[in-house]
Amino acid sequence: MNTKDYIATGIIDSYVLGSVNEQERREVECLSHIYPEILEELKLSQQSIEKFAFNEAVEPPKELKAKIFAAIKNESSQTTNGVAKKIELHADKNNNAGNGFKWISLLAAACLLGAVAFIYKLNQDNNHLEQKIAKVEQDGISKVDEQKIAGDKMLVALNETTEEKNILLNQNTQKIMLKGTDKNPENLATIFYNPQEDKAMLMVNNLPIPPSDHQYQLWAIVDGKPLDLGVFDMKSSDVKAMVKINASKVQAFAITMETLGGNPTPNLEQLKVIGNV
Amino acid sequence: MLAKSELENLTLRFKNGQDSALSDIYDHFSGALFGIAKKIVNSQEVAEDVLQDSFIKIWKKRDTFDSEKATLFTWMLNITRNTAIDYYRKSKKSNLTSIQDFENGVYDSTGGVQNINTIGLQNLVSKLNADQQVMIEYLYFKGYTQQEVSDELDIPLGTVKTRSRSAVQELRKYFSLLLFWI
Repeated sequence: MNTKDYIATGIIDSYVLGSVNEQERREVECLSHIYPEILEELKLSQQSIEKFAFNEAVEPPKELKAKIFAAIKNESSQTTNGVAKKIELHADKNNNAGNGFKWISLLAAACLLGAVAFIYKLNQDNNHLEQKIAKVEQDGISKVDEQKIAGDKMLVALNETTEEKNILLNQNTQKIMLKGTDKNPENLATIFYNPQEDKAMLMVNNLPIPPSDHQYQLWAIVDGKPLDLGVFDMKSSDVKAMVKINASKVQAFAITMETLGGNPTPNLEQLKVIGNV
Repeated sequence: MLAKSELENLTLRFKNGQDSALSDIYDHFSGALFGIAKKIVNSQEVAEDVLQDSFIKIWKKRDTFDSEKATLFTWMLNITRNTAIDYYRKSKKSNLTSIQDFENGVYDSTGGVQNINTIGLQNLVSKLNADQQVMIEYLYFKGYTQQEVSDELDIPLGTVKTRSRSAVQELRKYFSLLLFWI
């Protein structure tokens, strides 16, 4: 992790000038939670913009204050008194909220669709396994031992799918999209996080296979500090893993690429995806 | 400048919805907010409208202010800047569709890109070099993204990034020096 290099990219300067995009904004806000050096840099730059604004101050005309406060008073009384105005204000609010709402419901619908498809697949897997077990049971006793081992394996697999199903169906589970950084916007992973049970399921949607001497490492950000959740391999492109989190109140999840076996602190330059809870 | 404890107290009263807090905030910050608005919209009257709209938003949105994310002033500055940029963009749009556009275009072409100086950061002219001023103008006062600046001024994106970083660094240097002098 090299916060100096990160700061040197100028992203924090762009942030305080208000010229970052949504993804970069989240990234800076999230990383400033994790790294005190970044927070310090951000605060200093923000202060200079504040001082800059004070330095460029122009006094508004004296009578403007009364006008503005009358307008504010008028606005607030409209919310409590005038019936007609109230509706207008509501409509306005609804409009604003409407956009966000539409967005959220679309997103929710998309998530739900994804979850339903996923659960359907799990169910099918389950059925498949159950059928297989049934078949094993039907096939004569001559291969009992072999079958028993195979059956045990299947039961383990079945338990795993059940666990996945449980976390997906739990109403406390939150779905968090971990999105790619500016360098790799196409990267994507999903976390299903159950804060009540301190459990999460990781699904990799899109991450490149790392070089053979590297592994991905999953992190939870707790109290502004990165907490190691372990490394994972990318043998196949669809990685699914359950993780137990020894902390509550996770603020964010992130994946970095690290040397084999992982590292005690994340390598910031190799941040692949990140998502706030 | 307010002392830290005064500011914290003011922020708290504001969050609690006390009218008197808003009045104090106005007395203390309206000059800075008005100055920024005026530079963005480049008109005294429009800046007055911007300031009014901004204060209405500041009051209405007081519940959404999160002191962990930004200081009260930075938060208000962002609201005012966004409101002003909206006004500026709307006025630009109507200019573009107006019949006098051609005339304006000819007039503008004499100044070209250099006429950015008309916004005038008088107080800072001697502190920032021309390139750095252009970055502050475009990114902060016109609300361009770095890519848009790169396209508009036909300079590489990397250069835009370096220049905007050096501009903010220069501001930091200048204002920390200033603090020593005060």
